Amino acid sequence: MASTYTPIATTTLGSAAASYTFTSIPSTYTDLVLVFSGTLSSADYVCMRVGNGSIDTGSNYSHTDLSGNGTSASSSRSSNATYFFTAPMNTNQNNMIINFQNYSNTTTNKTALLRWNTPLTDGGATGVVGAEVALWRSTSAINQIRVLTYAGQNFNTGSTFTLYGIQAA
Amino acid sequence: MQFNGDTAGNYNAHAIEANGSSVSAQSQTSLTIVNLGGPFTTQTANAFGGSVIDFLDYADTNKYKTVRAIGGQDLNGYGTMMFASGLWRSTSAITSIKMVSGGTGWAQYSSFALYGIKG
Repeated sequence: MASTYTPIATTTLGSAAASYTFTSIPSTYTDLVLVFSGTLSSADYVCMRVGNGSIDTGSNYSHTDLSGNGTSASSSRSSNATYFFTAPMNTNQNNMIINFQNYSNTTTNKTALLRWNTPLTDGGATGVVGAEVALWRSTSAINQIRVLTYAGQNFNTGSTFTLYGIQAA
Repeated sequence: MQFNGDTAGNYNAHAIEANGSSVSAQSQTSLTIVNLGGPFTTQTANAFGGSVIDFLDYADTNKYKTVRAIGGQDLNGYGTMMFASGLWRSTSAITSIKMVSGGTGWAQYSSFALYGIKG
């Protein structure tokens, strides 16, 4: 029986880094799922850029988000942004799952769905859970994905990044 | 969405929804259709909405069926984001799923994929 999720690439950081890039992503799957679990050197926003052949750093991204911090729920959006997502994370164990649907088609712009959480700690840091829908205004297939931080904080050693392909029957 | 061709009022749904500035919640019962994808608008410049929907224990004939969904659409200046769950009040195993749009029909190049997950 074929597996639902096929690991394309996975890495555990052996040293701190401000970004991690998946390259040469094959076009043979129907959807992609990216899973991140890790900590940051200091509080920052975790972002993403994608591209075909090279990472797109232009103002071709936008998103709408929904989040809750244990007290209230809120929503915001960005337009003409240079990042796919902006998820606030900190020095605790953060988690993020991103679905890229129909990522390799060359007809439509690309939509992705993100779920993330930053845990509550006994030290008083606020736990936050959120979701975002994001748009990359390009009809190019996605074959590169870069996860990075907005202000340049590092992903700590031991942070993991895994990319899965999902193949429809 | 409808299951096994059931068009009667056997569906419940509740959701939390955001539009980029505010958040709202809703709950509905005795529906003839369960909304799990969010309020998508007409596609603009090839910008499509997306949803990921999980059907839990879909073949169990001893329980009603629960589904959960994350969905949204961003159009670079307009967007909605939604968490939702739905209940189909039937113990029948799910053998068919009908994806229903809100009356305008699915745009060309809309795509649908169904995956099985086996423990």
